[in-house]
Amino acid sequence: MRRYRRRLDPVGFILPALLLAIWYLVGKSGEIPAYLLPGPESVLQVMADFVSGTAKLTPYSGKLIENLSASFLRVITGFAIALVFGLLMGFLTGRIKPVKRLIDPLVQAIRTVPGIGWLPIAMVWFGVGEQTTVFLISLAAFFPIYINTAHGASEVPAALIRAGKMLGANEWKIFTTVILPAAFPAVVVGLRLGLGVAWAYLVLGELTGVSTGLGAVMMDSRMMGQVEMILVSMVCIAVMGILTDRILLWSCRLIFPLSGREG
Amino acid sequence: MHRKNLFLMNNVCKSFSVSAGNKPLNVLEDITLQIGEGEIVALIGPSGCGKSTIIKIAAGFEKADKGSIVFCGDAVTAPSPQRGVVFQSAVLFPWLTVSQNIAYGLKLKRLNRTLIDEKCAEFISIVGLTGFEHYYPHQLSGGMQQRVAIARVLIMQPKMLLMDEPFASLDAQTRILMQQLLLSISVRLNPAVLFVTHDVEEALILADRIYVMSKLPGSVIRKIGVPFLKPRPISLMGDYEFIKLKQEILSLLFN
Ligand SMILES: Nc1ncnc2c1ncn2[C@@H]1O[C@H](COP(=O)(O)OP(=O)(O)OP(=O)(O)O)[C@@H](O)[C@H]1O
Ligand SMILES: [Mg+2]
Repeated sequence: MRRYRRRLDPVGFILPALLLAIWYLVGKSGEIPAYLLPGPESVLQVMADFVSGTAKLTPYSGKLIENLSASFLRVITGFAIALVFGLLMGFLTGRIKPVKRLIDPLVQAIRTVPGIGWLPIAMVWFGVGEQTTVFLISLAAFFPIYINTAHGASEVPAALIRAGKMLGANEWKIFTTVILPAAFPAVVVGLRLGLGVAWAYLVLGELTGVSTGLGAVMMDSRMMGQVEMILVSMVCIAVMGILTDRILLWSCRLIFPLSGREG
Repeated sequence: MHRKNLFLMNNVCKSFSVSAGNKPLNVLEDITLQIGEGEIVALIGPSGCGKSTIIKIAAGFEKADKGSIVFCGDAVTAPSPQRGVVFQSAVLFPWLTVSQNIAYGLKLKRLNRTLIDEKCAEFISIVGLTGFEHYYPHQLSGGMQQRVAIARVLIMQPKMLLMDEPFASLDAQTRILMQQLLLSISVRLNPAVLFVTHDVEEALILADRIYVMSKLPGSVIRKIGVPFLKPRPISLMGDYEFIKLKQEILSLLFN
């Protein structure tokens, strides 16, 4: 099995470094007051304190793990629900015409309501917090998974299916050995998009009022004027987004070594 | 030479309705073919006359409107590994390596792992791909891909091969090598072969018999027995008899 060695491209670091430098200089010059945009060094201090809890700079000193794991759990729960329904319904609509005719119009109609548009009714149904957040995440992550899976499943070349049949595969084997691997790259795309929106909707859900979680930290920090903490939470979400995407891609490659190669 | 009939297609008709309003397009009209055990039969005819349709019906991918298709005494209703199909393009599974593609059919039969590995190595060497076991299809040339496609059906030890212009996409040199490969396979494993080609020389080099088809709607206009003894070297193409037969077929095709 060949391995693709991914080395970090130094060119990709030029702009972030530049931005960081500008940020630093702007902070030094005093053009923008610190209560709007604190300098990178103070953000870094707050970040370190958020992780280690030694400096006690904010009320969240040392509370990273607690908030991160609460958020992570919500994302994973919501994403898992979206994954189960998205894959199941995606493969069914992609491969079975009557099923497509039955459920696809409804799903497409529901999709036209933007995810944020579900917030009020979700709060009515589930109250503020935990369940609303998980509901919003799974709803938002469902659509990209469903649509990409259905598309991938319906685009499997008929010739490949014929090849499988003439080599002796029954319907079930055609699904597991031809349709599944052929649709897999599209499924991976759907899962990655779904995971991305899962983190976005996590923040939306948590803003409605949960006691722990990165979104809650952001919202409470805003009220307490802890701008550094808001920025730190944003960085945490970005890092978690990238990290979970990598883990997802890596697990997909465990299943099919060639999947998501362009990613 | 008389051989037991392995495959029969009797009075097969097939039409396609392209759109709801139009009247259906008659593609095959009263096609009757017989293929004996171990016999190589070529199907030649103008483009669009229904040759691929015959292969699809013979494979069990498509149903005939009328007529019967009998293989080993049973009616053909579905595809079977006993009738291995080689398509014009290789149609390999792109996510499987060469050896995984070739082992695909045997794995479905849940044979013992070591037996599969042995067989796989054997057929990889028959088609001359030893050393490329772990390559993916996109890393192979067209001719190599086609050899994988042939190996993955041969490994099932089919009684019959159905080949739809298997070498048409290859360059002239590779095509000649592949024709020789098919001849050596037919000596070694002795499957019956029904193959489609638009290359008259290819038909004369490979086939025991040739069916010449008419324009749409396709029907068989001539059955020709090829008299040359096997093995047939490439130099046969310069023979007087060979050229005469070639002319005869060409004039049938262009009338
Ligand atoms: N699924 C289909 N639906 C409608 N028409 C079809 C279908 N398949 C084939 N045809 C028609 O049947 C005719 C014969 O097609 P076929 O592919 O069998 O020809 P062919 O002899 O293999 O041609 P070529 O030498 O170009 O490969 C064509 O006119 C084609 O338009
Ligand atoms: Mg054809």
